[in-house]
Amino acid sequence: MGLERRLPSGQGSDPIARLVRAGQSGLEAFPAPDPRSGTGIIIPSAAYVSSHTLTGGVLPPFLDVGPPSGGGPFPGSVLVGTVDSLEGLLRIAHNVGTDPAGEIFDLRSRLDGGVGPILITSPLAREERLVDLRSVRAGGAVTALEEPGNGPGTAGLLVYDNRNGRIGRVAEAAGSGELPRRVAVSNELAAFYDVETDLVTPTSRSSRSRACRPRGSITPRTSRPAT
Amino acid sequence: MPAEGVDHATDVPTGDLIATGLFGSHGELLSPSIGPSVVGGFAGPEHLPALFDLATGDVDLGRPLGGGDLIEEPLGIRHRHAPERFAAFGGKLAALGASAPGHAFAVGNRAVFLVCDGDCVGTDGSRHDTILKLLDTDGSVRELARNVGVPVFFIGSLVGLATYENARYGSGDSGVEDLDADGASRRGLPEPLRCGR
Repeated sequence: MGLERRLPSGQGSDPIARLVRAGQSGLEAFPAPDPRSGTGIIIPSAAYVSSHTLTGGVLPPFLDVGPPSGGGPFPGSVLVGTVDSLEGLLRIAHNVGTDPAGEIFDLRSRLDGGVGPILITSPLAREERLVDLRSVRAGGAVTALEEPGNGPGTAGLLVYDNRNGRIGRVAEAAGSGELPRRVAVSNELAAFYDVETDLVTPTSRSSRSRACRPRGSITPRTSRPAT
Repeated sequence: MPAEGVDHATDVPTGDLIATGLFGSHGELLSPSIGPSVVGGFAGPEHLPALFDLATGDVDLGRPLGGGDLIEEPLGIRHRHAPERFAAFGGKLAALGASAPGHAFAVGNRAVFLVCDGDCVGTDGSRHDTILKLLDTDGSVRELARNVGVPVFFIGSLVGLATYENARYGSGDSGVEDLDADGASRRGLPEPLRCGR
């Protein structure tokens, strides 16, 4: 995914980042003759993934794991996160802890000469809106983020549900502050109000499950093999 | 990796949003309080703490606590589905170092709150003990400790406390008094956070 034109402008330390979803459906988690063969790489939770600088420093972006997706032979989990630089490292642990049953892949047999690289086919990458990292509110499976709007002091609201991988968007609110809304989410509902308007009239609104599972589905498209 | 497309978020139809009829804030500009199928807010021109039931559309007074079934009321904490478990505060509430509105922190159906032993300020102006209390999941209330500081967060098994000078809190406008008589009030400078079970 060419990110050069996708990154937010401004200083590297600003809180605005691009929300993206990425994954692949071409890698078999345990290639035959492993008895566990036949499935893609399913990442059980965000505990398996971490983001790093090129020098190994740990970055704390919003990073979550969604359900498997993709049109390739082995749909794997989709990662959802924010990017604000051109280069970085994403580490996916093959296990968390010491229990062998916790292994989610073993790709040693796919290495070229025991070193690498591994050719990944059927990739997918989807660009979402810019988001303000100061607005992140998480409630288990559901995360809410505000997106800078089309005008000064406006922001839309994105609600991501990692159980179905869907993102719902609530229309923009306006306000003179940097974050025009206050938001709370749980696994079952999202609630918010508009800060400035709320001073004069009640604006508390909520959506039970539908905001978290918006109507319409996200149909993965068949991706082109990497060359 | 080829880009697969742009902006796959789905607009949530305005009709799918439920207006609670409540104000979201009483001036604190904090995130709303929520619980199972309920949203907290403030009702009417007096901005009384209230909760909206998403299932029935009913509005009731109180504030959802901690994502469980607890509702904070002026005199105590009630369980939405077990009214007999009403837990009275048992004293005047002391100020929290809260990042959330209300007078208690809760996780699920456990809550902590801080009350004064009688009045918070005696007739001679002295500060009375503050008592940190725990409401447990079975509805029982017990005293955890006295004068240990001010709760600033609660994760269900640990309470984060801010302490000031001699571990007491709350005198004058700043809430900090010069109890060690060193001439410094340490206004607005909390001591390191302590956690205790």
